[in-house]
Amino acid sequence: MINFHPSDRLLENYASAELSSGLALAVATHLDYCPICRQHVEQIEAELAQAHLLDQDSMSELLLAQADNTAEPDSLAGMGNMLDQILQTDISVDEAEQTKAVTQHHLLEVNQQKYSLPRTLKSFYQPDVRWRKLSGVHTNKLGEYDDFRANLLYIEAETHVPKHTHKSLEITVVLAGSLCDEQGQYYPGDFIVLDNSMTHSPATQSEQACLCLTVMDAPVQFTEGAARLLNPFTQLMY
Amino acid sequence: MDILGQDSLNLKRQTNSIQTQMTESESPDWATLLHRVAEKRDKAAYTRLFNYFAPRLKSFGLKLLKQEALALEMVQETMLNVWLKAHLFNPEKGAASTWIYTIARNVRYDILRKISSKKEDNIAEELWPVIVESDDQESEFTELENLLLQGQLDNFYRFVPELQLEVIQLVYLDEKSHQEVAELLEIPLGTVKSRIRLGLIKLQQAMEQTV
Ligand SMILES: [Zn+2]
Repeated sequence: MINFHPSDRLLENYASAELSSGLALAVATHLDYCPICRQHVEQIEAELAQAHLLDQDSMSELLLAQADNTAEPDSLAGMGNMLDQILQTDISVDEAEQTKAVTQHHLLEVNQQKYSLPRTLKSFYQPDVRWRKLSGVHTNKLGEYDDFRANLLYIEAETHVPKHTHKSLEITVVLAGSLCDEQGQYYPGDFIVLDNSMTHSPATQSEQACLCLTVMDAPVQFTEGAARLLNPFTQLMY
Repeated sequence: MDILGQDSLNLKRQTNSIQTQMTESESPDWATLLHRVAEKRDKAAYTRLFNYFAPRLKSFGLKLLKQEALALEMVQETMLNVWLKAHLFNPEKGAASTWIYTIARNVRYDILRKISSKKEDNIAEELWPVIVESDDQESEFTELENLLLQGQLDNFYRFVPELQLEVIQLVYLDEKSHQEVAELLEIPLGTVKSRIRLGLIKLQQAMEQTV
């Protein structure tokens, strides 16, 4: 049961292609798990497709644009070549890609546990990227986009992550297992947003490790006691 | 930042049944044309789809990506997918235009990722040469982990000379920028950086001796 969803505005901005690509990855991952939000996004997509690709308005706008284009006929010529190129692309290209997709590593192993990744993340995980470990917390970098960095985060069972805050924003999507903090208990698909006004100390329970996607724009800052002395090292985990 | 506000249980997401009606009323029948592309590699059907959608996708792409070259890349990728993956279109799930729209939207995010993707974490390298140079980061974190659990990390700071410790504390505990520290202590920025670096080497040496 998914209890934590992205806001409607985040879903709308995702559908209209206006999110930064890092945040889009977090939203798309939630959608892999959440039929409720998926249905909502599909509705928005249908409306947007209508507006951008079908409406007479966009048509007349287009005709105007084309009228202006008499000055630069290149753009239309470019599209003509494009059509020829595409028609010459053999379908076997796609079949080759599909075979590749099948052999691609979507099973990941961390701390001797195997996980299968959701569809959205499969193409981002590179098995040769090393996991980094700090106090029961393992991270693996998926990529860095705009100002955001996407990591896989694996938290061993019975681990308490010291209380920390974020310089501005951290989004966590639970992929497997379970995690809790002061706000609640999280299960696969839950979409957790933290900004710099909040501190939290997430923890896992016994015999229940947790695998998450995190998208954040700055390293974690520990806020209490001896854990603050770890701040020099979080640069490497971020 | 209310865009990020969360709805914890959204009862409001009941389906709005009005929106589904557009699914059947597309004309000409793009779904049938897609089907012909999927089944017979029908170039005439594809050309009709292309001539209609490609210019519209381009104007959509220009709005989003602002650059002609990127907009054309988006059109090319999207329309190539339409050609190669027409068999994945399922008319029961939605209109053909919606399917094409979502491909374009995903391509747009791919393009953004590609142009914004940074190869290496150079921030970490600049700040933490000591640790980054090391081959096996995992074992260091394991040591740290032990230290943290035993609450002994403070002890190691005793091994760091006073001037270096001062800078490390200002940066990591008081969260000051290197520049702020330089101004506060009236020392050059380069000195701040080198004291951090030397201090961390000491810290690391201390850890290696004790653990
Ligand atoms: Zn949801």
